[in-house]
Amino acid sequence: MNFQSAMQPKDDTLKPDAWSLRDHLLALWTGCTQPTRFSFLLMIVVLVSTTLLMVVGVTPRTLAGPLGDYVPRSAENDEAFATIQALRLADPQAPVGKAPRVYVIGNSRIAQTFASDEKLKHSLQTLTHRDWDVFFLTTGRQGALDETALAEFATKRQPGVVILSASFDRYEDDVAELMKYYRMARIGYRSDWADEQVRQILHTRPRSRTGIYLVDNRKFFLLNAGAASLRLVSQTPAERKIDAYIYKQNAHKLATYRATILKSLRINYIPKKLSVSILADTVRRLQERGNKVILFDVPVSSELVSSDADHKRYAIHLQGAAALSSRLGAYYCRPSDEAMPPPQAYRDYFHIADPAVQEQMRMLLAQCVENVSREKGRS
Amino acid sequence: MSKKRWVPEKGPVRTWRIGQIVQGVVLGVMLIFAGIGWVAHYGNVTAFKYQGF
Repeated sequence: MNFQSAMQPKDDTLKPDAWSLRDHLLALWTGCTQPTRFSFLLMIVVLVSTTLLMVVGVTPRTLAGPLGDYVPRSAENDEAFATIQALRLADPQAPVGKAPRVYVIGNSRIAQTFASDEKLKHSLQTLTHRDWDVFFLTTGRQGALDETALAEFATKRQPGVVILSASFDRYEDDVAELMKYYRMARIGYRSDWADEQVRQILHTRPRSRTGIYLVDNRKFFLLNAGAASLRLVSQTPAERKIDAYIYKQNAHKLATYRATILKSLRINYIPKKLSVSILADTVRRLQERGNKVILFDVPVSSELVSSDADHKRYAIHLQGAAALSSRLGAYYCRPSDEAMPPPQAYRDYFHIADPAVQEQMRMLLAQCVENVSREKGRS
Repeated sequence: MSKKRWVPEKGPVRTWRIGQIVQGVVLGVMLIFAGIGWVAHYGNVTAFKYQGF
């Protein structure tokens, strides 16, 4: 059938002048489903232009903006939340606040102990009668090099009081373990401080850099791009949950977990030189920027260190951590022996789950922050 | 059925063109996602899974 014959009046579909919904739907359907040279070329153009847009458009600057809200995949995607938070704090255009700042950088135990930035801010305000800005950059099983990366970016523009972990579990890393977490590239930007520590302390070559964000942070991008696109389109950013590390565990898992933590204590109650070197380097860099550093020792359950030998090891760790903090010029903070949380405050010997005890810990940290911020000439 | 089949010469070409644009854009975007998924899969990219310690 050609065009002329199609114009014959007997056929309803052949009247171009008469508007017909059916004709439009058929035309649209055919347009959507019929491969043509035009649609193929358009597909290539869209493919190339979107790729270029991502390469040029996805940068630390854009992620520090409103786009960053959509990057975390879920409420518990702590690496993405910490990354975006750090990028925003380091952004040259970010406003510098008048209130003093507290940066909480640490692993799941630190996050679980203080639980909420708003609640910690409230504790600080209650204790000091001043306004504070509190930023949580916590990630589960945070490697020492990730800690360094987060510390570098968080304090880039404005110094403050930086909270780091002093617990024995931070010292268990050897070179292989440290590099394993470094190569996981869980934090979505490249850190000069962390790369220098890899080069100078671990005597290993850092990950290569091209200067193109998408290439240098391809794993972070690949993990988050899909969910971020859908969250952006549907305008539904994830709400962060900081204290997201309490799991229901059966008796067998709990026993295995207890054994794992005790093994860590038995190996690391005297800190490893390598981990101490990295911690010392990070603390020094932070102090050079004018930050004050608090090393917070999250207490473990007394049920974990019930044997005399483990109790002694834990006591040696506490003494050593205090001495190390003093040597590094940092402020050591932990609850007194009388104020140690009861065993029922924990669900797994290690993470504090009781909201009342979390509040006690926040008030203790607030007191330490107040003490350290009033000291002059000493970090 | 073949008599009722629509061809560009018969009907609203502009609507058909909109369909073509939709086709090109959708396929292009789908290819982007497929490419990201392909690289993630063959690059063995997996999210860190917190295991409680």
